[in-house]
Amino acid sequence: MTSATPALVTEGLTRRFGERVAVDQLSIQVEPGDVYGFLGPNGAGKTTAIRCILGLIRKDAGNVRIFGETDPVRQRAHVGAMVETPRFFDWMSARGNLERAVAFAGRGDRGDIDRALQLVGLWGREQEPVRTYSLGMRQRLGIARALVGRPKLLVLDEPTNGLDPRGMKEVRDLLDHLAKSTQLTIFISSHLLDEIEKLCDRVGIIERGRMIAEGKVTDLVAGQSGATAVEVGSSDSALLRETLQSIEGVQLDGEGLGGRVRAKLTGLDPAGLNAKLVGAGVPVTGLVPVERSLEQLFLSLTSKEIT
Amino acid sequence: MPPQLFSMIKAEVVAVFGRWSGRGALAVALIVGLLAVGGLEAAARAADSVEANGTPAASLLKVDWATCVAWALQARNFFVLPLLLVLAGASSLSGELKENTLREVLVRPVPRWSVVFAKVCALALLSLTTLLLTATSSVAGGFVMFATEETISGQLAGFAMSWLSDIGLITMTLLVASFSRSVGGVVVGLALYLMVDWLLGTLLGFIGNFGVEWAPMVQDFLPGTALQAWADWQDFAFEPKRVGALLVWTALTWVLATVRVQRMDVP
Repeated sequence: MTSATPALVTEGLTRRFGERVAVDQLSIQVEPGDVYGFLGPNGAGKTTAIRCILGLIRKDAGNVRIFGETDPVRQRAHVGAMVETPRFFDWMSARGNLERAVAFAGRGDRGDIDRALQLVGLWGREQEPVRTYSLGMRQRLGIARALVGRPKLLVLDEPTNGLDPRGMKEVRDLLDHLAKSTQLTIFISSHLLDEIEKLCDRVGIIERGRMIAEGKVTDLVAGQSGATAVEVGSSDSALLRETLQSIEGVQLDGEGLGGRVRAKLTGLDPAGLNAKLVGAGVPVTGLVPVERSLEQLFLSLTSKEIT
Repeated sequence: MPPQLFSMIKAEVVAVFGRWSGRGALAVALIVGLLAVGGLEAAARAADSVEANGTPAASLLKVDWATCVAWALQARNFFVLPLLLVLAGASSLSGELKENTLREVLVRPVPRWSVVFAKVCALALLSLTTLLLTATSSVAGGFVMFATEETISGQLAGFAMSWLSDIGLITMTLLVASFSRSVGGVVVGLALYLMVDWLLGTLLGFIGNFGVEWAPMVQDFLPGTALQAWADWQDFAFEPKRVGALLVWTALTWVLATVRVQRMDVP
């Protein structure tokens, strides 16, 4: 294995449940050190793909390589994983659960457990039975458990699922810290697109088991049709709409905040649009450029797929 | 073989002994041994004042060390402890499948056969500990309370053979558990199977009475009959067919449980 060996590669990964194809020819490449966001609407096949990658369920076709390894047991030696809501022996202490994880990982020691507990902020409460833990604490303990086997690749499936805003923030801060302070490669599936946008270098978006977009977050967001979005307000909205439709390079894109009209500009900048509107006698009360976000990209891509 | 196999077995031992089924089995094992001592003592006292068809009941009852240990062995293997072992085995696989704690183990770098192996080892250790507790408490109690001229080597052989029977029961439980996500379902499934097994055994015995030679032979190889192999040993009536059948069923159910877990999709 060289340093250029990708952390995770799937080639044509496919899994069917009867007639339904849950994961369809999925190909992903995650480079070492990447924080990769794996996105898709509910039922898109994210969790099934993750289970195939981890060998929890059989794949019908395709290959998985983790740091160049093709043998599933050797692959998992590089991986720490948290699939959906982490489950524990509730009657056992947090430390007991982590000791169990270390025993099965075959790597790690008491020091690793202590460090993981400190990292996730559970130090001092590690002797308490897990049944006394809140959902947020369990989620953090799940991340600690994924870390104790000294993994190089951390696979997290919906790590903020079911958490309240405070719990989400705790987990988000923790992942942010991990991403910035360690050499770990992180593969994370989530619904929280704004957080994925802040956290991840690259994302893959899947729909109905198929990859529909993959690349750097900045490239995907900026390169989405090359258009600039604006919201325009006017005291005469009928005239505004009529004028906007008549200007070349302007495409109406629904309604924005406070009754503003949303439009996509191609080959035209907001200042140029403003000049044209004023020139046409439209009483413009506001013109706000709209920043493209991953969420908008996600919604536009997945709604296209649905329709 | 994974290098961490011994650590895995240790971790499974902690889990098996820590569940209520494991702790219950240990407590019951100790109580059964002491109950055998107390029961024999109470029976001996009662027998002094009771007659059966003019014969003093005391003359029908052997009150000695060997009887005490034999009572403990029979009480231990009668119902409650096998049931607790089945519950411990079912919790270890069905319970973990249902609770999704098995998933947390299978994402580790371990082959699935080794996970089943670790579970069988931990459950076998639980069984051994219960046998030691019952044997020790009944032997020690019997030694203090009753005459010790009789040898107890037959009873101790019965205890030793019970361990093999328990391992057979454990592997059968794990096989049934690999098909069910419900601990109760495993207990009911296994009970139903053993009931069918018993009916089949009775039928074969009945057929055997009519001179059908193969019927008793098949009867000896039924899993339910094989699990009773321990019963012969306390009288040194070694029955190689039953022991052989027990070994075959143990190996077969162990292999099938392992294959089933290997092929299983774990949610």
